[in-house]
Amino acid sequence: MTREINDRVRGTIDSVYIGGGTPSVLPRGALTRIFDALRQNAVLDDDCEMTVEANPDSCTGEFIKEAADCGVNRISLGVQTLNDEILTAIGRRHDSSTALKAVREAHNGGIKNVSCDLMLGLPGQTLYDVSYAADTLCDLGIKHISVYSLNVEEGTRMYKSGYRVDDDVAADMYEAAYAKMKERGFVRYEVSNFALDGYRSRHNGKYWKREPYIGIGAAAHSFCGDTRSYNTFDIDGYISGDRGARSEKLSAADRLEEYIMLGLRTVDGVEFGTLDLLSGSDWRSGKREVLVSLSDKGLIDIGERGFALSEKAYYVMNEIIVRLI
Amino acid sequence: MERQKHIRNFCIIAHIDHGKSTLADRLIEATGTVSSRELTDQMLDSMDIERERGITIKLTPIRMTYVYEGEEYELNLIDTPGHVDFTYEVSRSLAACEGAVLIVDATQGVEAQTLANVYLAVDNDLEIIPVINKIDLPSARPDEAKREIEDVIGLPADDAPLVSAKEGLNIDKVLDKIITEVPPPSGDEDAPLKALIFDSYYDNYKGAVCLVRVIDGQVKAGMKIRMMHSAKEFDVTEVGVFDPKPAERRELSAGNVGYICASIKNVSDTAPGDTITDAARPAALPCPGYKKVQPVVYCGIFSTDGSKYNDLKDALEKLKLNDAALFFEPEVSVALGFGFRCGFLGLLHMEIIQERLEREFNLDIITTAPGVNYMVYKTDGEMVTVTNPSNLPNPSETERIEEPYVKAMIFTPPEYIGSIMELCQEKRGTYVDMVYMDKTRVRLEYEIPLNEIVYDFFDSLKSRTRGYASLDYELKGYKAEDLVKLDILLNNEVCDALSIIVHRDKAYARGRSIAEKLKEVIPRQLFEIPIQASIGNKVIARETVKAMRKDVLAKCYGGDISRKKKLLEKQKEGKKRMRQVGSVEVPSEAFMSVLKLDDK
Repeated sequence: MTREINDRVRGTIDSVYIGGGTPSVLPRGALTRIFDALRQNAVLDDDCEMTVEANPDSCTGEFIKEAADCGVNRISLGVQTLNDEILTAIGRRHDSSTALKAVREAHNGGIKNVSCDLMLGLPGQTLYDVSYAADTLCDLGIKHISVYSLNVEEGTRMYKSGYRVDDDVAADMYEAAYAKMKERGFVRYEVSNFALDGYRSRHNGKYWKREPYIGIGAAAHSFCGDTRSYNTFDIDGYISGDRGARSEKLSAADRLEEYIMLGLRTVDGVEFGTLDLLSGSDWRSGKREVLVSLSDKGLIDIGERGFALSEKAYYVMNEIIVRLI
Repeated sequence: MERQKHIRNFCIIAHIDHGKSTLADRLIEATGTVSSRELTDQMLDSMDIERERGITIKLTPIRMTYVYEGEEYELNLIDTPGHVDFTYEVSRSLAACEGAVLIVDATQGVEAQTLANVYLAVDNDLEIIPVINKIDLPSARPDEAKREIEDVIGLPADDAPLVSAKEGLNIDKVLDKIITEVPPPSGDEDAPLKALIFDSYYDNYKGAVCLVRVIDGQVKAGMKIRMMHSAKEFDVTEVGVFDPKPAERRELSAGNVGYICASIKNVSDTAPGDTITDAARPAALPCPGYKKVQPVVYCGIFSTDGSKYNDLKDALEKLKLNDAALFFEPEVSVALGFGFRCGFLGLLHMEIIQERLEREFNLDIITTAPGVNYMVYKTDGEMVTVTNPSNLPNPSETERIEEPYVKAMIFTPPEYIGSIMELCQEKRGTYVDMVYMDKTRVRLEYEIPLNEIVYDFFDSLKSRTRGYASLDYELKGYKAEDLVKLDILLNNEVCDALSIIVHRDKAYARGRSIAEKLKEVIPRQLFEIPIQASIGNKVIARETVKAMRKDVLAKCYGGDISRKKKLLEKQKEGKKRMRQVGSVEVPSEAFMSVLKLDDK
C-alpha cells in the first residue's frame, strides 16, 4: 500500500479513512507506516478527519494508542448488536461487554469521536434489542451511529440456512432506531447515518457529494469527477505489485443519475441548479409530473433551490429514485 | 373412368400419439415417394409446433405411386388435423377421400377423439380400414384392440393389419388393403368442373394456394374459376400435385388431389368447404357441407411493451394470411392500451397462435382470460353479440344473456366416473348419457357451457383422472343463463382487462380466488392497494396489498456506487414490464396469472 501511496497520493487531504477489512488486526507498526507514507507525499489538513475502522475484539488499548499517535481522531466500531446470543449466532468474535469496553478504550486513548455500526433484521433480534443498543451506546457518549439492515447474500451460510430478513420487521427496527436517535439529539443526515451536531462523517459525505477520493489497496475504489476506477480484487496480485486498475468513464447521463441517487440519500437532497447543469436542460420541467405526484403523496419536500426526501420516504427511496432517473 | 380405377384417395384417423405421422412416413418410404435420405421424421408436420406437439394444423396431401399385382396406382394421402378445434377442417378433408385408415394403438385401444372422427368418416361414407399399431411394444394387446374396434365402433377387425409403424412392420399390408378396399373415385370427367377445397395456404410468390380434390371435370392453367360460395372469380395460373414437393401438372381431372394457384390474395377467399367450378360452365350444385367457420373462443392479445402494437398487428396479419379461421379486431383497454380482440376455433388454436406470436415473431404478449361469445338480448329488443366482457350492456338494459354450450363426450376408466360427474356438476353440466363401452371404459355425455370448458375444464379433468380421461366436444347451441360481469378493482378503479363474464353462482368463489391471486403477484407499492372483486357496485371479495416499507440499499459508499446504479437501472427496467392501472403498477404476469386459478 505504501507503494501505491507513493505513486498516487499528492496535494492536501482533509479526510483519511482506513477501513473495508479490519485495520485493528494489523500488526503493530503497520498503521504508522501507512500514515508516514501519507505524510511524506501529501499535506494532511489541520482539521483532517482521520477514521480507522475496528472490530470490538481487536480494538485494544494498544491499538488505540498507535492510532492516536498516528493522528487518528475517529474510530468506527462494528458493534452490530449488544445481544450476546445474536452475536454468537452470527459468528462475531466479540460480546456486548467487549464492545462497550472498546468504546471506553477509544475514549480513554483520547479518541472522543466514536461511531458504531448497528445491524437490523438479525435472526432473533427484537425492537427492544435495537433501542437498547442505541441507548446504551449513546449513554457512553458516542457521536455517530450507522444502521444497516442485514443483507442475506446468496451463497452465504445464512442464506443456506434459509433465514431471510422480513422487510416489515426491518422497517419497524429502522423506525425504532430512528425514533431513538432523534430522541438522543442525533440527526439523520443520510438514510443509514446519524450524528450529533458537528459529527457528520466528512468522509462519507464525499461519496454522496461526488467529491474526488483516492482508494488505496486491493479492490479499493477511486473517483475523480467523471471517472470511477478500482484496483484488482486479487490481494496476492496487488501485493506483488500489480494494481490491475480498471476504470469507467461516466457519461453525462451517468453523472446525473449518480447525483440524484446519492444526493437523495442525504438530508441535503438535490439542487435544481446542479440538476440543470448535469442534464443540460431544464430538469425540473421535464420531471414536473413526477415531482408533483411524489410531492402530493408527501414523499418529497420541494424547496426553492431543490428537493429532498420526506421523513417517511427514506426507507423506500429506491422506488422513488427510479421514477426520477 | 378407366383412369380413375387406378386412384385411391384416403386419410388416416388416429388419436394423438397413436402413430399417425409415423405410419404416414412409412407409407411414403415404402412407396419410394421420398428417398430415405430426404425423409425427415414426420414429413407431414411442417411447422415446428406441429412436430413438437405431435399435432397437425396445416394439411399437406401427398401423392404416392404403388404397384399392386403388376398395375400402378396413384395413392393420395390427405392429412387431417389432429385436434377437436379443427373438426370442421377434418370433415372437409374426409369429404375429399373415399377411404380412411383407422389407427388404433394396440396398447391403449380406441380413444374418444378417434371415435368422433370415425363417426365423421362414416357420415362421409368412407370405407374404413382398421390398423392395429405399436404391436412391437411389450404391453401391446392386439386382440383386445380388435375386439374394441368391433364392439365400440362396430367394424369388423378380424383381418386388420397388425403393424409397427416405428419398426416398419407390415406396412405393405396396409398399402394392399388400401388398394383392395378403398373404392376408386367415380367422378364424371366430362361434367363441369367441381373441385372441393379442403385447405389452403399462403405462398409468398403464388398467393393463396387451394388444396383440392377434383370431384368432376378438369382444371388447368388459363381457366377462369369461380368459388361457388363467395362467387369470386380468379384465373388459374398453375395446377399440380404434391409428390411430396409441389410439382406442376398440365391438368387435374376428376379423382385427382392437388393444388390450384390463381393469384388469390387472401386465404379467406379459399375457405375450406367451398367448391371451385368453371366460370364459363359452372356446375349446378356445390359440394355439400359448406360452413362458414366462426370463432368459438376469444381473448384479448396485447404486447407487453405497449410501443410494439404495430409489430403485433403485422404478426397477426401474417398469421391470418395462412389461417382464415383466425379472427382479430383492434381493441383498446384502459389497463393494457392498444391491442386486439382475437377469435379462435378453440383453446388449442388459441394456444398455437399465442405460441407462434412469441416464437416466430419474438413478441412478448399479454393475453386476457379466454371467453366465449354471448348473445345479449336487450330490453329494447336489440340483440348484441359480446365477446369482450367490457362491452357487456348494463344489467338494467339487459333482458337476458345466452351463452354457448357444448355436447361433451368424456371417455374414462370406470373408477373415475364419480369424480368426473362431480367435476361436470361443478362446471354447470347437465347429464345426458352414460355408456359402458366395455369393462374398462365408459363414455359419459354431458351438456356443459363452453365458458366452463374454456376456463379450466381440461386441466381439472386431467388432474382428477391422472390423465386417463379424454374429452371431445362440439358446439350444441345457446341457452339463457344467469350471467354477470365480474369486475376487479385495483385501488378503487376497475381494471378492464381483468373483467370476466361468469355465472352468478360462481362469481363469489371466482372473485375471491382472483383477488387472492392478485395479492400474490402485485408487488407492494408506496401506498396500500385494495383489491376488490365486484358485481355492479357490490363488492364480493377484498384483499389488500400492504404498502411497501423497505426498498433501500443500506450501505452506499465508494465501492457500492456502481453496483447500486446497476440495481436501480434493473429496477427501472422492471418497471417497463408493469402496466399502470390508475395509480397502481401491475406486472404483466398478473394478467396471465388469473387465467389459471386453483379450484377451491
